[in-house]
Amino acid sequence: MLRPNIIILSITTILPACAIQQVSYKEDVHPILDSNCNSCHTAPYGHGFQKTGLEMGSYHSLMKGTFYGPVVIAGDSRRSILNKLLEGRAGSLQKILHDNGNEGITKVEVETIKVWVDEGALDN
Amino acid sequence: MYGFWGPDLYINQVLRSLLLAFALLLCSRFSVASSFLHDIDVYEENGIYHISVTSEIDANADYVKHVLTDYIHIYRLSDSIIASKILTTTAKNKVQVETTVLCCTSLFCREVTRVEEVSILASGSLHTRIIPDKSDFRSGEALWEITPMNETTHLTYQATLEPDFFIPPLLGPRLVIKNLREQFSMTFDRIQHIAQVNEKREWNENYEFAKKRQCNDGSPCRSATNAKLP
Repeated sequence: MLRPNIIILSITTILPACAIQQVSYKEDVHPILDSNCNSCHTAPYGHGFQKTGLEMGSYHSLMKGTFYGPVVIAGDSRRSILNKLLEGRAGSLQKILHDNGNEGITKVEVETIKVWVDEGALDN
Repeated sequence: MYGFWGPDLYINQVLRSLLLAFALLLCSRFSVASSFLHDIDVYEENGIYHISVTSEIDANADYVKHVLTDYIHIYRLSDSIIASKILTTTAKNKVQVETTVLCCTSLFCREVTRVEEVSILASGSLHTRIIPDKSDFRSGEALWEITPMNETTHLTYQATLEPDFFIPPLLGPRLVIKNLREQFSMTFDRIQHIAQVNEKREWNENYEFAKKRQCNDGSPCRSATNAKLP
């Protein structure tokens, strides 16, 4: 008697969860980093790379982080240095971007990277 | 349901286990030597937390001091520092720094704001004083003592902190002590790591290379990556 109800309940709870699209590293995050960060954070000559050791051209180099440690803590954007910097919670990254002739990262782009980190910073 | 024990015996066993765990938690004053280099002592008395950390940092004292006074990058010292900024430079050798720290225990999690005035003393030590009006603390002071020891550094930290936010009674202070101990262990690890990296790279006080390196072909380089100067 109860079994069909359970099946219907499962379907109605699982389907909406499946419909929510995850932020993709390849489709969403990489293009943002590519247009805003890579000009400086490219090995071996990029100034940002030379100063911090952070290379942002690939998922693995991003997750490797700087000379000082990782910049992404998967699942925790509040503690991730990447998000601290992008959201203006530490330092003045936007100013650095402007000084380098970049228009700066938009709020939507910042939010996209935040969601990606909170979703586990997957190589998807 | 209770195996070969009667219900009373089973409940007694469970209660005894819980009491033992609780007693162990209460008895410990959380004074431990962490994995390899820090001696951390934290205790609470009348709502004031006393913190004492002693450490041998395997890096030159100049680089250790540089890490501690690099206020712009202070967020590197702990993942839990979720925001930081320099408010003002009030006088020579004095600066106000604001940090927001995520204080999480198994019972509660909250963001705590702290504004400190940092002074560099004539001895080279750093003194910090919490500004209560701008902080979630009633009071607080700290002293960082940096003593060169040949190629290494003897670093001590003595502090008091008086929170101005609700901490659940009984277990709350114990959990805060545990959290503080973990945070300071992480921070001292980070201080050593960052100082070592900068020492290896020969950064000067402006975070630039102190010496011009020689590339393989003898021309000046900007970094250990052997990138040639433009």
